[in-house]
Amino acid sequence: MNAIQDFFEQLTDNDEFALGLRVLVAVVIAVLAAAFVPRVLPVRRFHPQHQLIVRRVIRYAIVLMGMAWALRELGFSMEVLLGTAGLMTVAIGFAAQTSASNLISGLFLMGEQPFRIGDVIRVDTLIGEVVSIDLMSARIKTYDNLLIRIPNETLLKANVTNVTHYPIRRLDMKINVAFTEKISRVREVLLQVADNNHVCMVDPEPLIICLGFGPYCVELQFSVWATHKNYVHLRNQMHEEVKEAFDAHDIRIPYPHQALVSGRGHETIPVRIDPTAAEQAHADLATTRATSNAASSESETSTATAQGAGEQ
Amino acid sequence: MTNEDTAVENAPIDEAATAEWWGSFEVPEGRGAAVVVGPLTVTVRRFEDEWRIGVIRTNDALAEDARQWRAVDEMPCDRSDECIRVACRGEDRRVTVRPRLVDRPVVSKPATPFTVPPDEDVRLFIGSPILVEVVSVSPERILWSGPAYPPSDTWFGPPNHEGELCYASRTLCTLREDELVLRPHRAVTTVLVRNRGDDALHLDRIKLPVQRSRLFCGSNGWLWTQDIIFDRKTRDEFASIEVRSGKPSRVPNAKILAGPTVEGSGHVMIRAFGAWLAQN
Repeated sequence: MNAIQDFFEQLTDNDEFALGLRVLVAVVIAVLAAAFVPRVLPVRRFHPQHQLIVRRVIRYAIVLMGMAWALRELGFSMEVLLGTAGLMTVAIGFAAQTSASNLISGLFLMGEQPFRIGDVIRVDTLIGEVVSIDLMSARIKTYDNLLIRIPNETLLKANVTNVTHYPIRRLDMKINVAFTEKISRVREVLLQVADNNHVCMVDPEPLIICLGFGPYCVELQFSVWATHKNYVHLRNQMHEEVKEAFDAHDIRIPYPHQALVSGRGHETIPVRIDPTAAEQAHADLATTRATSNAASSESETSTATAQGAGEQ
Repeated sequence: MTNEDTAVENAPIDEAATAEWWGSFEVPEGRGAAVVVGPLTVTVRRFEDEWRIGVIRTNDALAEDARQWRAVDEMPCDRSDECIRVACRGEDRRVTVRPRLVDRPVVSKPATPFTVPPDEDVRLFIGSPILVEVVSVSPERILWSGPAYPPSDTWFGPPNHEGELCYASRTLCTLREDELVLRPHRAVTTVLVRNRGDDALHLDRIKLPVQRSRLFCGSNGWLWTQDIIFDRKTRDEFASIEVRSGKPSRVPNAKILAGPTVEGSGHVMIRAFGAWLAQN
């Protein structure tokens, strides 16, 4: 026991060992504090995005303070270090312009807050839920469970659509009906479909807009509203119910078709599809191809024979 | 929302339809029990370690049928729209079925827009949808809760964060009590609208904070909420709204069935009217 005590006394008497021990303890404390302090902070009432930012800033600050203290204890001059850091920053700044741009863009995004963690956003063709907003980039999780990292610079420059910013959303359906249908009757049927659907909101009221006359149909837009939670459900239900209602009321959704017009008086050319003639035409074509292939094969064989004879 | 009360208030009161469908009972052993609340039928059966509940709904928003619990041989979930199984140990076979008011405000749209001239008071009777709860007695646990007739969602206010998600209802804005029709799946609210503004108040929708009201029943089995007073003082949509404490004024002997679904102050200043004569 005395030997152990003597050993430790010798160690602590050694200035270098004591210094090293203090530095080590400081680093360990800093690391542990950086890990646990952000977790126990009273930030639950903050928005998740702000919680993330606050925790990360505090973590980095604790680590930096610990490292700065350790370096000072080891005898490094902080003024020299800061000066060196300043020079390095200039050099790194030129070399890392993109990263700096992302960093500054991130600060602007945090201040402007066009979206928050949990929002669903669309950036060009990408759409997904925001899972984190970091200093350099934001990460979104797509509906098919892919994680996409988008640099903040891209987000600042691009048109970002926040799909879930407002609590309700409108569903626009393009519906084509035949020219022979009465638009007022179609409108009644569509409004009845919306009325019968409990997920479809009563207010804002469903909207029907006649977009115009297409090449083969009357083009309508049927718009209804729902909460975000019910949007996908409404989208599926409404298309199905509109189809069923149209079937029940004999309202035709026309196929694309065209009329061939010819002659000085623009009389239409009558066209008749004859199934037997079509089959015969197919058979003739197949025969023609088979004959052609056979002729080609004979020609190749003759050529090969001639070449072989020549070689011999 | 399907044809909800579009032609409600023209039929006389049918005394035979005034049935109190709520209450507690014991599910018979080896059999089920069913209750009918307008378009809703709920069947309950007790098994060894579970409660099994079947829910069937019709599309008839004007249904007036209401029947108390009766024993049935039908197995819940055989032909139900919704089937619920709740694990439960013990042998207690008692359940309670009870009505509750919905958990959001109800926006009522008069079938025909209604106008209240300046310095006029008007009393309206407006129906609201209700929830039906099936609760086991011991332990007390909600086995199933749902609307008797699913109300549609609606938004009251601008389509951004200033608005509020509500349920939709349609009413004729009956002024006379004798024009009301008993519907077991609806609760009636006496609404007093006071227009102290200097312009007419056009009502094409009105938001009732029924979630803050208690639910009562009259002697004839009608469901009532507490009275609601809208006091419009100025030329804007905002009105002072008061959920009057105490029993419904039209039913002084009413008995209380349930407390507010959402607790809150009884007197608030909110946007209550959807249309007003802003153009003048």
